[in-house]
Amino acid sequence: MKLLQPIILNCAKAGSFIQKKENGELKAVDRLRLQIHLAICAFCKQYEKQSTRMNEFLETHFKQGQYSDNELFKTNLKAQIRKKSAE
Amino acid sequence: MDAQELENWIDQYSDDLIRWAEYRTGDANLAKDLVQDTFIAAYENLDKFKGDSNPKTWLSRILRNKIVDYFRSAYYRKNIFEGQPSDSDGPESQLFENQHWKKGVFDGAAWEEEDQLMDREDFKDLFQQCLKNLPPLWRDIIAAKFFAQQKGSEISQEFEISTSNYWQIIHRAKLSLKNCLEVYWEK
Repeated sequence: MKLLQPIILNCAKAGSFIQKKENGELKAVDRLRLQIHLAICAFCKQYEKQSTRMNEFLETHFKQGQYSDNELFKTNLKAQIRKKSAE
Repeated sequence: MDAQELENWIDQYSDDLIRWAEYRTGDANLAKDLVQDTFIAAYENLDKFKGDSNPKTWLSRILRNKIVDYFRSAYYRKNIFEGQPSDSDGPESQLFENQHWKKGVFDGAAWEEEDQLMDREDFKDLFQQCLKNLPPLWRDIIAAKFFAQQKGSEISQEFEISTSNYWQIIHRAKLSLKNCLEVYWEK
């Protein structure tokens, strides 16, 4: 069992590995460890799917930001700069 | 290069800069303050601006430094550590037991199968609410990744955390979001 220790991955750790994998930053050896874990763990397999879905949500969310009305801000800022340049 | 030029920049670029700062800090008023500081710093350093580079890039760099300074400030550090769940009350404790998923964690995943959720106003509102409830540091890191599209190595440097800690935070933030959606989103 002790020999297997470096291969065995717990679910908590697998979650972080999944994040790295999504970004193509998981080392080959860890990719293998994750693959083995996902083959035997239906929960993490499902979490992997959810994690991908979560990325979609996050990407959409951050794309949809709205412009607030900044006209007053701009006017005030310009006035401030003008005051400075008059000094 | 004169003050008039700077006024044009204010018109052209401040919307984008404010939006970016708002995502990075999660605070609309703070974002405006930082952008204001940015333009004032730009005005005071106009002679350092090289006409051949893009003004937006130059302004973004100044703003970025202001945001980094803010994240590193004592005020921010104090707040994130107070607002940060410890290992015992973080999302893991709700979803994990002995480093394994708790029973039933995947039973309530109504959001998982539905399509086009992000087209629905009620879902978008909930998602935004769930994001707001993340600890500030996690939310900032998520925004840096998904809004500013920074690389992991860049983000960990900026926030002064290790890369493994960075991946852990992305994972934990997603767990929190998952948990939040599962508690509040019903079929």
